[in-house]
Amino acid sequence: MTLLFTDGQPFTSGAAPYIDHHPSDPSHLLRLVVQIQVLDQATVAAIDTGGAYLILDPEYVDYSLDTLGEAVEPARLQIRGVAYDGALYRLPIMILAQEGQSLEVEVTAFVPSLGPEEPWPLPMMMGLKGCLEFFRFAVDPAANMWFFGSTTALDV
Amino acid sequence: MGMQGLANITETMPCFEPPMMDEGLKEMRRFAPVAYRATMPWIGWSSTMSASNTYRIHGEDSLSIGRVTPWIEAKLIIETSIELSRASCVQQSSPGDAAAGDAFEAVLARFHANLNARTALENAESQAASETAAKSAARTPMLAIREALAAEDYYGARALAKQAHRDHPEDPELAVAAQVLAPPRVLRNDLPPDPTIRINMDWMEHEAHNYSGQWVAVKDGQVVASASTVRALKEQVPDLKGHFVVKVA
Repeated sequence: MTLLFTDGQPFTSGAAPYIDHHPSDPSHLLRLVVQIQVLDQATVAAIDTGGAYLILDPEYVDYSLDTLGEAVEPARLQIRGVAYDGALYRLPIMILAQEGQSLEVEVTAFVPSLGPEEPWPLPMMMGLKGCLEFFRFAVDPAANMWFFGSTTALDV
Repeated sequence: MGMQGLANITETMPCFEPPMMDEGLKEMRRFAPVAYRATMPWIGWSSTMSASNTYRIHGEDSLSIGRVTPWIEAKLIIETSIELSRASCVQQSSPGDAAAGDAFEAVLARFHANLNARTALENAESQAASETAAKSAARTPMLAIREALAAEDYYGARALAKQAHRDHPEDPELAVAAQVLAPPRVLRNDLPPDPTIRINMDWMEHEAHNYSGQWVAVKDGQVVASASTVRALKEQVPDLKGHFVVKVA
């Protein structure tokens, strides 16, 4: 399923269902939570158009840090008004489509540094800057579907 | 130095008494940089030492200065000229004395040795200073990048990293920063859809609340394992590849 421009050219190339609450977000705020694949595991992330980078739960990547490559470290980011120290990596993720085509994208990801036994209090999030900034996306709230595609070289 | 050069020195070098030389030295130190610039390139160097005495040194073509800073060079010239002046006193008091002529040669030999040593030192210091400056310049952009990140200036951080890497391609930290902060890149847009998405999302909506506080591994809509930590989850399912893994609040 794709969305098209009026001239018939594709606007998006894939579509997938979303849920409007992240299961690991205790705030119960309405969100656009979509499925992605990070480090060969599927998981969910909230779209955060006011944020930056892919924010990962450090516990999720705990066993894969060695495979993430070199990092900008230390790095301090403001996330929802709170400063967190951590490291920035470059890694590929997949935006999973139920219909159409999934996208593999290389993005900037932030892995916060936490103390021992300290839980990460936020859901994983995909920010606009450094992650979604070259995406086209649209939402159909009646069907809880989101549509996405690359702004460059759509091969559909 | 040939005898002609020595003759030049002896002819133009007045004999100063030590107190006057000391006064002259102070004055020369004060004026030397200006005097030096005024007499580039240095073969003959002159300056007014006092109201009544002119102070003059003539070298010869073989007396090369080398690449040193004006002040060090001028200081060397002053020091050498003072020594030459002392030597000329000896020579003038003993005309025709071969030993007095040798004294000039010795002074000028020391001058060359000093000059070479100081030139080498200066070059080494200059190189060290350049390396330090290069490291400092490379470190400063990294600090600026971190500050931009902390200030939520993400595009600024990206631009800084890109420019810094261009300016310092040899710096590995800046290379990593430029790569990590580069714009997102689509690697593939022809990947097949994943039909399990709907199943996983349905599980999330209808079943996840039963696993509050747990990390859960789901496969095809069925819970494979759950635990309070990822570490414990991996003990149950060592290879989570291909699973849907989520933390439930």
